[in-house]
Amino acid sequence: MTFAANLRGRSVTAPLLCALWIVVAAGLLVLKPSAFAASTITTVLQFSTLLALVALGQSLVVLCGGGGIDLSVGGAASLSVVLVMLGLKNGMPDWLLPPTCLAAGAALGWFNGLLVTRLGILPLIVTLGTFYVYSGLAVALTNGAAQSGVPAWLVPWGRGAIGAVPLPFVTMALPAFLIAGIILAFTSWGRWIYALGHNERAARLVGIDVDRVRRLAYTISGLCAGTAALVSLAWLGSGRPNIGQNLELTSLTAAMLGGIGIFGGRGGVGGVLAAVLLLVTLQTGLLQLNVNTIWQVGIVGALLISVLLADRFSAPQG
Amino acid sequence: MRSLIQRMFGGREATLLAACLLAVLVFAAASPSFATPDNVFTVLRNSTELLLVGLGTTVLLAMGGIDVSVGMVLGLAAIGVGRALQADWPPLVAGLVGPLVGTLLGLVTAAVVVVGRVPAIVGTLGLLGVYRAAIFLVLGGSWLSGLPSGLTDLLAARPLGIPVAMAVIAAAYLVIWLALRRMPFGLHLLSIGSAEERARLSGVAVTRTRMIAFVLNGALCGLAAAFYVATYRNVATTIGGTLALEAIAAVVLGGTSVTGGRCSLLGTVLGVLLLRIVQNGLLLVGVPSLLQPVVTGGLLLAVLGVEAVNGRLPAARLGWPLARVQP
Amino acid sequence: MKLFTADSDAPKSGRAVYVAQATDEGLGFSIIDEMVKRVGPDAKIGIVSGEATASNLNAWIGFMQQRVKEKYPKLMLLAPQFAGGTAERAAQISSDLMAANPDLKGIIGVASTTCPGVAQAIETAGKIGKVIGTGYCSPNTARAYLKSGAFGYTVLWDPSELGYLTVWAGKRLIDGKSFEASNTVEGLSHPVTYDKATGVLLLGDPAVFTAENVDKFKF
Repeated sequence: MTFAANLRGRSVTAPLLCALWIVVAAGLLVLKPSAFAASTITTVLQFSTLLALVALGQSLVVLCGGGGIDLSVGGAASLSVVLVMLGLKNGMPDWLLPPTCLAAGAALGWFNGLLVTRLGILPLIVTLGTFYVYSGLAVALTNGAAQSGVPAWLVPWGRGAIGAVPLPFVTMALPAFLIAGIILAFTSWGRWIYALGHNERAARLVGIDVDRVRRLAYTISGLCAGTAALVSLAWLGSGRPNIGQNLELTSLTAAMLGGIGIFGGRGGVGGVLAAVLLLVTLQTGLLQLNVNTIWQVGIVGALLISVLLADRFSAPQG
Repeated sequence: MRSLIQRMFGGREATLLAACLLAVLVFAAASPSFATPDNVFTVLRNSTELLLVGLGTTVLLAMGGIDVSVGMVLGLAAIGVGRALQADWPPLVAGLVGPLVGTLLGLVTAAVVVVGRVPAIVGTLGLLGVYRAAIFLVLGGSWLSGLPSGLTDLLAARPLGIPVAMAVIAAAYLVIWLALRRMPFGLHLLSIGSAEERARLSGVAVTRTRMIAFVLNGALCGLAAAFYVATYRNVATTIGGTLALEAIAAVVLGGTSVTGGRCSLLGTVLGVLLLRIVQNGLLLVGVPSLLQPVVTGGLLLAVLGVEAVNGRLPAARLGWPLARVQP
Repeated sequence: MKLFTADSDAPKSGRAVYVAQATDEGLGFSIIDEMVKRVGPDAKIGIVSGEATASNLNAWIGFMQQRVKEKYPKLMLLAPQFAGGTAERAAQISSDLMAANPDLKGIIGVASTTCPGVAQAIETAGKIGKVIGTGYCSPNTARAYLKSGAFGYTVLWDPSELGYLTVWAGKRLIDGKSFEASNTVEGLSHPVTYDKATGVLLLGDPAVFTAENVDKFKF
C-alpha cells in the first residue's frame, strides 16, 4: 500500500460521507426549510468544535497503531475544565487560564502515553483506567456542581462568530486540523506515525523512536482534549465537570467513520472532520425536526457498521 | 502446547485472592458493619449481573475479541423477559426468554464481527448505538414497571436447600469452565487469541469458534438480564449504560489478557468480587460514592502497573487485536 | 416567536414563562415532611441521587437539607450518594448505606431511575417496615414497591396535568393574553398561581402517592 493511499484511507469514505451529508441536508431542506438559517449553521459548527478537537486527538492515537485507542479523552476534557476552575478559585491569575487548560490536558495525555510506552500496558486498559480516574475526579472534586467564574474577557471569543462561523471553530478546530493534516502529509513525523501504525516492527528496525512518537500522540490527544475544554469554558461561560461525558465513544465513532483504520497506519484527518460535521448535522437536524436524539445514536451505529461492511466487501482480501 | 497451558494458569488468581482478603481484613477492622452475614450477602447479590456478563467478556477476550454492547444486549433481553412476565407467561419460560434473546443478539454480533470481518471493537461500538435506539423503540419512551414477581420467587426458591439463583450461576460457571478447559473449543479459542493465522493454518475452525464465542457471550448477557428483571422488576431506558466498561475492567483485573491467548474464569470471579468488595467497603467507612470510579480505575492501573513493573506481563505492545497480518 | 420552558427552566434565556410542575422548594420540603410523619423527627435518613451533575436533583437535595436544618434539627440527613442513572448502582449503594448505618430509618431516591434500585435493596435486605423507601417517581414506577411496603410513599407532580397546563400556557401566549396571579384552567382540579416577578406558572403542591391512593393514578 502506498503512502498516498494510506493518507486517503478507505476508498469509499470520502464520497460516502459527502453523499450522506447531502442526503441529510436535502432531507432537512425538504422537511423543514426554516432550519437553514445562519443560526443553525452556527449551532452545528459550535457543537462540532468540541467533538472535532477530541476526535482529532483520538485519530492520531489510533493512527499510531499498536492497539492505540484513547478512552480517556472525555475524562481529560472534564478534568482540565475542573482543574483550571479550581485553580482560579485558589488565586491563579485569570490570564493564565488558557495556557493552563491546554497544559492540563497535555499532561493528562502524556500520563497515558507514559503508561503505554514505559510499562507496556495495553492502551485499551490504560485509557479505560484513566477514563475512570479522570472523569471520576472531575465530578468528585466539584461534587458535580458547575463552576462559575470564567473570566468575562474569554466569553466573547467563545460565543462570537464571523458571519455564521463561530470563532472557536475558525481559530481552534480548523487550524488544528490543518496543522495535523500538514504534519501527517509532509513531515517526517507524519511518515513515522504511518510507518509505526502500519508495521511497528519494521518501524523499529529502521530506527524510528517508536515510543517517543507514540507518547507524543497521546500527549497531543490530551492537548486536543484540553483545547476542547477551553472552548467549552469560553462558550458556556462556566466549567461543567461532565463536559466530556460520552466523548470517548463518540470521538472513536467519528474517527472510524472518517476512515481511520482501527489497526493504525491508515486514514487521514480530512475524513474525520467530515465525519464530525455529518454526526453533528444529523443530530441538529433531528433536533430541528423534533425527533428524539436517541435515533441519532442508532443511525450513527448503523452507519458505522455499514461503512465498514461496504469497505470489507468492496476491497480485496486483507 | 505446553507453554499455552502454562499461560492459562498465571499467578494472578493468587494475587487477587490475597488482595480480596486484605481488603476484607482492612474493612472489617475499620467498620463493624462490614463482616456481617447481611453485608456479605449484599456484596454477593450486587455482583450477580456483573459476574455473568464478565464470564462472557472473559470468553471473548480470550480469543482477542471484545464486545462493548453487552449492556444494551442485557437491556433488550430484559425487555423480552419483562414483556413475557407481563403477558403472564410461566416464570420459568419468561426467564428463558432472556438467554434466548441474548443468543439471537449474539448471532447478530457474530454476523457483523465474524462473518462481516469488522474489527470487534468498532463493530460492537456500532451495535451499541443501534441497540440503544432499539431499546428506546421497544420501550416506546416509557419504562416497564411493577413487573410480576413470579421470576423473583422462582430464583429465590430453595427446592434442594440452596437458592435456585445460586445453582443457576454455578451451572453457568461450570458450563463455561467445561467449554474452556475440558473441550477442544477452549484450546481453539486460546490459540485464536494467541495467533489467529497460526490457528487457522493448524486446522482450527476459526470462523465457527469465534461465532460460538459471540453467541455464548450473548446468552450469558441474556441470563444476566433474567436476574436483572427478577431483582428490579423494572426496566428503564438507561439500563446497562456502564456495564461494558465495568465488565472489561473486572475481567482484566482477573488476569485475562485483552490481546487474547490467556484467560482465567476464577480470576474473573475474583476480579468482580474485588471491585464490589472495595466499592462496598469504601462506602461503609464513609468514602463518598462519587469517588468509586476513581477507585475502580486506580485499582485497574495499580494491579496492571505493578505487574508490568515486575515484568510478569509479556511485552504485549505489538498485539492488540492480534489478527493483523501483513499481506 | 414565543419561547417558554416547561419541566426544567432556563432562567436567563429570555423565555416568556416557565411552566413549573412544583417548585424545587415544594418538592424538597414535602418529601422530608412526609418522611418525618413516618419515622419521627430524630431518625437517620440516607439520600441516593442520580448524576451528581444534574442541577434539578441537586436543587431538591439542597431544599431537603434546608428543611431539616430549619425545622427538624434532630433529623440526621446523611451526605447524598450518587448512583448515576442506573438502578443497579442505586441498589448497590442503598444496600451499602443500610449496612453502613444499621440504624437507618429511611432512604430517599432522588432521581426517578434510582427508585427501583432503592426499593429492591430494601426488599432484598429484608428491611421492609424497618427502612422506609421513597423517591420522586411516578405511581406506575412505584406501585409494586408501595404495595410491598418497601416504599412508604412517593412524591411527584401529575405529568398529564403538567402537559395540559403547558399547552394551555402556550395557547395563552400565542393569543397575546397575560396571566393572572391565580388562573382557573379548564380541566385542572385546582387554580394555578403565576408569579409575575419570576415569570413562573406553578401547577401547585406536589402530589403524595401511597399504597392507598396509588391505584387511582395511571401514569
